[in-house]
Amino acid sequence: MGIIDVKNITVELSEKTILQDMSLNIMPGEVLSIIGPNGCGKSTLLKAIARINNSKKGVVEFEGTNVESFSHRQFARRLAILTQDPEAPPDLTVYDLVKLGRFPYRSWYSGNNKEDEEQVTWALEQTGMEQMKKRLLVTLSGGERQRAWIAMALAQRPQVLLLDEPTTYLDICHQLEVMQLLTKLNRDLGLTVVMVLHDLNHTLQYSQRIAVMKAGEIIKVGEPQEVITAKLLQEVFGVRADMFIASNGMPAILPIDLIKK
Amino acid sequence: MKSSSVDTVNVVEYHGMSRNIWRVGVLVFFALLAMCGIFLSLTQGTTNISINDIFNILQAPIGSANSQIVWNIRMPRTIVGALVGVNLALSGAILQAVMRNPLADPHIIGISSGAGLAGVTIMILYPSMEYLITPIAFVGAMATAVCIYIIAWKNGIKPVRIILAGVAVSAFLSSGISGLMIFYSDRVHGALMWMVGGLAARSWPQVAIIWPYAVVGLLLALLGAQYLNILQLGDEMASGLGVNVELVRIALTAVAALLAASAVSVVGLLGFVGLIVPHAARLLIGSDYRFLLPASALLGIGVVTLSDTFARVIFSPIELPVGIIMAFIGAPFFLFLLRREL
Repeated sequence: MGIIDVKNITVELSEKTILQDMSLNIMPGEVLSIIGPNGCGKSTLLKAIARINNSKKGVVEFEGTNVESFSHRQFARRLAILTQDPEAPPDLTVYDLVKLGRFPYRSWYSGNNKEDEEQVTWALEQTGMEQMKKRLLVTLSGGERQRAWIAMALAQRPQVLLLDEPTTYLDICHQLEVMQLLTKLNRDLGLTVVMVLHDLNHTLQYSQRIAVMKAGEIIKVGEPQEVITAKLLQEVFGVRADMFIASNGMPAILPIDLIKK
Repeated sequence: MKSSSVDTVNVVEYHGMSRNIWRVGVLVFFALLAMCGIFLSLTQGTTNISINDIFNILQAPIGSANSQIVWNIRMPRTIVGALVGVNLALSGAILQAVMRNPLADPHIIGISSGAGLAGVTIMILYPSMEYLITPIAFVGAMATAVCIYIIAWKNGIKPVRIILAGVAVSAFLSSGISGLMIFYSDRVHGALMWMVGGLAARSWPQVAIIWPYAVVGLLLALLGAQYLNILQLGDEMASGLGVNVELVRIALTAVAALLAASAVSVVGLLGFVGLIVPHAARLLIGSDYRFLLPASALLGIGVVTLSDTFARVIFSPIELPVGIIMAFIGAPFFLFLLRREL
């Protein structure tokens, strides 16, 4: 049993089947990357786990309990999600954003308490955002902004963090910054990280396991080296790629050519 | 990261002040504006009454002609105008967040027409059940809101689709109102006034109708402030933060419908207040709903009382319905927002 068990779920959106009878176990404390071609249902899977999308069949369990049986707030204290390119009002500060992460711990009548304040400060420290807490979100660079959103998610004190393409739109320096931050949070806090990624080299470098999706199904799950092979890239993405070992000893890939079908 | 309806400042300081001091300052300014509107509304008109006289009349309501004017005409009219301003401004502010749409306003989106059609039906066909006008108008407003959601819903809420659905629904319902008014023209007094929204001849009975809704609506809106803040992050993030998005959206839409319906019940189809006021307030105070809602309420008082006073005196003795003034300011404002936000 994992911390999250996806058991035979089928998800339909607008009467179109996106996920078909899918199962996946997520282990506590791991970094799991989900890869696959555009439109294969990666984001839908994340949203099904976060119960933003309801599954038509099957269940998603959190530590053995059906996620539907938690209240919205209870669930938000266990699992946080960052969707792709989230919106925010233009005059929101980093501090105000992170404070919204305390919402699951508040009742509608209570204001700020000391506990919330401490947790917000902690989340800002963990993400290295304490110097920037008074800045407006819109004035931050893409990488800083992503860190601010991660800080908000951390303020929820979740056991599991889901991220949908957290490095899209970032330059390579900021991409690494975000990936290293997630690695640090995973190592220091034991946070389980599940993310949808497009950069296969990131998945090779930073995840303990990789799940490969194609057309609404998971076709392979396992450790990076055994999952990412030239044959798989050919089957799933239709590209021919070279595999080699980078200077830090980690495997890396370079796509060379499209394979004509 | 889209839309920038508030000019960005690098750090959160306005003219060297901390953000909270600035916000309190803006609230005080809006409160003064509201008081200014109320006083002008009481003093100005076909007979001008000085502020001193107003104070004397308030302390000792004697039977002078001025006293009659103040107590029976201007005072209730001012109160109705102020409360209508509060209700429409709050309704617009709430709708802008729950419909994820900067152009949402109870009038543009058709909620007022829904309330109006329901209210007019009672007024014309069952005049003996007048006490039911506001509750029925609320049902009409809510039904219209649900209708717009259903029409505009397709994998989530898209701002443009909401506006277009709202405009169409609004036109459809308005045709119903006009039809009823033409068929039963003998039973409708001041129909034209009602269609554009006016405060003429509004007195204590209308105050009695609207004030409970204004109080309840204001309290419910303030309770929803934190939810409105979180909805601004989008449905998916709100859900991830532990908000039951569908339930909260329906509940807050109901509050907005209640506020709009009570306003429509007393003044008719007064438009644009719910559009102009929250936006103007947002420009100065920002988009944190804990401050934006009280600011909108105060500015709503100021805008409606000042506009109504202006509408009464500009072509005196002919009195314009305040709705004409609001549309005159509001329509260009709508176009301005359209170009900037969508």
